[in-house]
Amino acid sequence: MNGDMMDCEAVMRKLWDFLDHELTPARMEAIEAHMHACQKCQPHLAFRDVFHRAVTGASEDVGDTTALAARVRRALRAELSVE
Amino acid sequence: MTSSQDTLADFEETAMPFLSDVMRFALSLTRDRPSAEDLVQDTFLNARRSWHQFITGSDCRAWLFTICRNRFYRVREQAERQISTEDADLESLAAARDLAQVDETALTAALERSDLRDAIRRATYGLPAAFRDVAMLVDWHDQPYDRAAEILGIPVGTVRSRLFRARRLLQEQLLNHAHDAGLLPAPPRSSSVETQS
Repeated sequence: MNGDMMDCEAVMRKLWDFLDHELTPARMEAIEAHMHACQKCQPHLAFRDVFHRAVTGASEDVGDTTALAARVRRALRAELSVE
Repeated sequence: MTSSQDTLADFEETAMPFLSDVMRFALSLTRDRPSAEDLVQDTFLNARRSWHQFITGSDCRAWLFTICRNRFYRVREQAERQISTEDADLESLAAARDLAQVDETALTAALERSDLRDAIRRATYGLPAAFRDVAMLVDWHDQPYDRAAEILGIPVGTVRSRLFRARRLLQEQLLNHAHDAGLLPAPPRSSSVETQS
């Protein structure tokens, strides 16, 4: 890669930060530009992207919380009434 | 309206919209719905009592997560202290594994072909507590690194390194799961010498 762009090693070190949107806009753009041009790094990004989406999509399903919200509101009022 | 009713109305308006998020977070801590519901109620009662400490305009969801987590670990304080001791060793172990390569092509194929949500949950719950807490907050509860650091009371750099290791461990475990479940061909056996007893 040329001197104006991040090198592969630097990009690999920042790849999770990139996927988590934890970088400055300028750094995000630099990595995007690198990925556009570097065929060596593209498969690593593709893998981490698939993995990242799978993991973030595996959180627990809370279902309907209407009854729980009503229970919590009742408990809040009950506690306030005895204060 | 009395002053305390005003306060309750203000609290409910600000905090109650996050009830589902707190329930999801509680569920990831307790892994049991009735216990999670008790924990959510306990969290909101404690949050209302501490409402005067909440800084208007700050992140209410992260504040509720902090209370929820503190309430959960207060109850399980002794058990968690034991796990924390083990974490130091496991962190060293994970650091050594950072250098190992994961078969990215095989794991990508498994993730694209199969619904591995249950396996991912099991693997996440099975992580050492220090890694699990960070992975859950960032990956499941959408907390940025700095908020996760605040909730856990650790530096942002520690969040970053634990997350890196948590994900590496998850990759290894999911790859093993994919092989065990027949989603991928068995890996080639190592040519190292096997000893017989």
